[in-house]
Amino acid sequence: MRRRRYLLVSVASVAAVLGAWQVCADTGVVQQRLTSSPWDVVQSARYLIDTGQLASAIGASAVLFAVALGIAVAIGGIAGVAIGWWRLLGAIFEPFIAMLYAMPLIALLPVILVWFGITFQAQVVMVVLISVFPVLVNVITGTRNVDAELIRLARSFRASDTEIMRTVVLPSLIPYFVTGVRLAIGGALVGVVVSEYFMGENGIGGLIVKAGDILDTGQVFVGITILAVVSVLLTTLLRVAERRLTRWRA
Amino acid sequence: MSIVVEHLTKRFGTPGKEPASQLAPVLEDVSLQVGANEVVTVIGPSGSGKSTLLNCIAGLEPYEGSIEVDGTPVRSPHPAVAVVFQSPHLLPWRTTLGNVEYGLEVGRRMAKGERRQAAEAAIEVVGLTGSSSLYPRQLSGGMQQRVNIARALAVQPEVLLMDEPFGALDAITKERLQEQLQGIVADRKLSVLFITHDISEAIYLGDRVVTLSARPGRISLTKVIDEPRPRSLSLKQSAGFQALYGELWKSLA
Ligand SMILES: Nc1ncnc2c1ncn2[C@@H]1O[C@H](COP(=O)(O)OP(=O)(O)OP(=O)(O)O)[C@@H](O)[C@H]1O
Ligand SMILES: [Mg+2]
Repeated sequence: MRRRRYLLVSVASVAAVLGAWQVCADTGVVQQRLTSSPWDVVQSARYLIDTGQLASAIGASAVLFAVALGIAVAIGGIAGVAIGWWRLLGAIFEPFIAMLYAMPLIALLPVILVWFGITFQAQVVMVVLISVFPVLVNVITGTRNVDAELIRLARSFRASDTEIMRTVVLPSLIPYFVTGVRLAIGGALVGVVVSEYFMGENGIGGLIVKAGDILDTGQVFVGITILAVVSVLLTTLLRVAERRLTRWRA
Repeated sequence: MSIVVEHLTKRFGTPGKEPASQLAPVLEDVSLQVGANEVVTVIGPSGSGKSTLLNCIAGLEPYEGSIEVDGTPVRSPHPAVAVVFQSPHLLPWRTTLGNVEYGLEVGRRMAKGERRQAAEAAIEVVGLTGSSSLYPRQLSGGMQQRVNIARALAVQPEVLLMDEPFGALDAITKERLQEQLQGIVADRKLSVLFITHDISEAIYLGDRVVTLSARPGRISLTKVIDEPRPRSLSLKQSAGFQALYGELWKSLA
């Protein structure tokens, strides 16, 4: 009951902001050419859908996002377990990981452009770079935090190294892994938009940039709205997955 | 199957620091035997090295001296040995059933259906049938400890190494499990090394009671408990029992 009332308040709050925006634009309090308006955004969306531009933009962004995130999660997961498990690998790679994880990787964009040009590969590299480190760092931490007593227990039952990996190390990693992936998704979304701004003007990012160039603020807001919705959806999805996968915890 | 420990000395080295041989030993010159179908109980003050002794026999710690299980020197965990650790060490992402199946799944690699049956039987022994599908966090400390015991019983070991297995249990559950353990030992012809800090438990369960002195752990007394099995719980009230209790108590104090 209470929850439902709060939900209603939230819906009303969003409606009020949209309404105020519409009214301000209609009455000329703000310049509609610069701020657009909810109705204008709906019109632009309809246009982009009808011309097929929206579908192809979403498609391009989705492919980039999925390919790059997939690569980042795979690299981060496998390398993370290896680096966390073998101290020597940790000693070799950790200075670089610490440095790259701490710095704003977008700064590398010009270098990537020089190496790969304006290509899909360049975009993938940019997104992977931004999203791989959260997975990597979390999985390394998780691997180091595996309960040594549980490993000893497994050994007492003569578990082989692969069995220890499968039955002790990997399960205890799951919470760290999921946290890493959640952070990586956030990073990948930033990476997708940035690489589309500067490396090809395609996808949703490209749509926003091109609309901005011709001062079509309605289309700009269509792009922004889609990014907002997708981000919320993905984050929610991951929280659900997280709760499912770590039910034994709470 | 028997355990033979001869001149066991154990020192813990700090990796990268002074060599282990220069550190004060935790166990010194410990010799002890557990014969076929014999129960040897070990008592000693906290920190006297009881768990360390058990870990060495389990093949989980390097040591100086000699340890043999069934005539073969122990360098790694022996297939016929199962360990009940002092703390439950359950896998938190597995249910009671999953935890009890664990020892059958790794190492022994039993088929899935068989595994389940064996696990369910062991769960019944410790009286947790109703809690098969609960996760460790949903179990009380005593229940977790019983899962720990069931996990060791499930692999049908010939040698059981138990580290204060009944320490966390209430008096009634404890006595019930003590009786059951006796039955299992007789049925399966088990050899058991049983660590406890409960003197009357040590006498009741042991064919022999061994006391370890504190740092460095050495065997200070060995007492043969010459009572036929199965022993009834009323044994604990007998005069002979009380005399033994007093004697062991003094040797520990
Ligand atoms: N991994 C280790 N590294 C260094 N010292 C250790 C290690 N494990 C145990 N010790 C030391 O060995 C001694 C004996 O420990 P152990 O756990 O065997 O005692 P215990 O007799 O089982 O005690 P309790 O009755 O409290 O369980 C202690 O002084 C302890 O500090
Ligand atoms: Mg101990």
